[in-house]
Amino acid sequence: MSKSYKSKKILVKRRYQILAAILFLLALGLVLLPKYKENEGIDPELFVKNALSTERYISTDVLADRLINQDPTVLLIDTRSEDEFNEFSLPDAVNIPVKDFFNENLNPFLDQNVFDVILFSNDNFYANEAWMLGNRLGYTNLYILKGGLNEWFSTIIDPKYPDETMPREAFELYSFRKAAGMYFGVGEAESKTEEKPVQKKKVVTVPKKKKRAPEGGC
Amino acid sequence: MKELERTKRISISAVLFLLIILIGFLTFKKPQYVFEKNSASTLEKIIKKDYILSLNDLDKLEASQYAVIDIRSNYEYEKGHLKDAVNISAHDIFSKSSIELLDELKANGQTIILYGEHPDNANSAWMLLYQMGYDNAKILCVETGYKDKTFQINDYPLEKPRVNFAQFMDSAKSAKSKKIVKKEKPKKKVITVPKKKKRAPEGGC
Repeated sequence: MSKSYKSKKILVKRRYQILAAILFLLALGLVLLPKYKENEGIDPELFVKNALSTERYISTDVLADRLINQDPTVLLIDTRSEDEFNEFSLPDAVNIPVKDFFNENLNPFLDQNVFDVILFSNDNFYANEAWMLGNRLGYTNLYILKGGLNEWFSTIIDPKYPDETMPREAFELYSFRKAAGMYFGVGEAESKTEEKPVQKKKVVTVPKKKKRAPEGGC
Repeated sequence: MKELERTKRISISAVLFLLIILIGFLTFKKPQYVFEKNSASTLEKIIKKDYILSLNDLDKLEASQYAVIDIRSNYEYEKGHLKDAVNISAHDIFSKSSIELLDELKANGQTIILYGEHPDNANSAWMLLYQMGYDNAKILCVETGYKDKTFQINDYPLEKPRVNFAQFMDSAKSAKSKKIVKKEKPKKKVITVPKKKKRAPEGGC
């Protein structure tokens, strides 16, 4: 009895040893696993998905509306060169040329989740470049002003008067843009061909009722 | 016997342990596509701007040196496209056939020239390909459209301001002071409700 028990014990011991050896080998295998390159930022698949979506574009009308309403979450970033920025830019914009994207003083403007960062340039191109760089690194809250400053000037600053046959919405949009333009510093006057309809205020005065003289009596 | 029971339990747990490791090995998935270039080196490339071609530049290249890739949708491509262009829609840039084609072009040392409706679209595709290591990719800076029902492709003036913004704003501002004088105040329309005459009190003496 005792002998067989002893042999079993040895067998168990051997089993332990084999198990330990296998585990040890596996651990070594983990060390020898082929190195693979890890992505900096997001996956290429997600990158393409984001890039194909048009969610990042913000129209000039929406931006104008937000600026006029003093939206505190809007942060305008001018991605053009410094010279162009000094010449003209949108109100309260911060100048971050694309080449300064990783500038340690300026990058915190882009990599945060407090403000809605709206990138713009003359067109979409530079803004799009900056957006792509941010997109890869997983920055949230980056948007692009659709059409850039060119679009801003052709819609907000100098809107085209709609044709007579256009729907009412076109006229409403026009008057919104005209009013927005005034907010951003355009004179109230129209060019000669355009006549701005003057809205007349209607004032209805309610005449005071005279007190009736007491009736009857002699 | 007690000892035996214990070893049984140990071997069961050991087998389980091994199974878990095995499953881990088998389900381990290497990411299929990785970015070869990091963001900083991409930015350097962007600043150089040597990857943007115009139609003229394209004419100067020899036909064997490059392959033009149309990144618009297949539908748009069928409607009309640049001569000799191959269609790889941006949506299926990761499909097996397109990756094979890109790899082949890279191996042959041919330049990949991308174009789309607008340079922005081509730029998105370029950013992806460049960062994935296809550093032979370039952009054709063009705009596509239709005129008289034929496909048109024209150079696009990149980032060109439509007007001189500062000047334009100045003139817009000065227009204000000029015309404010002319501006007439809208007349206030007053609607007066005619007073009702009081009826003379009836009756009485």
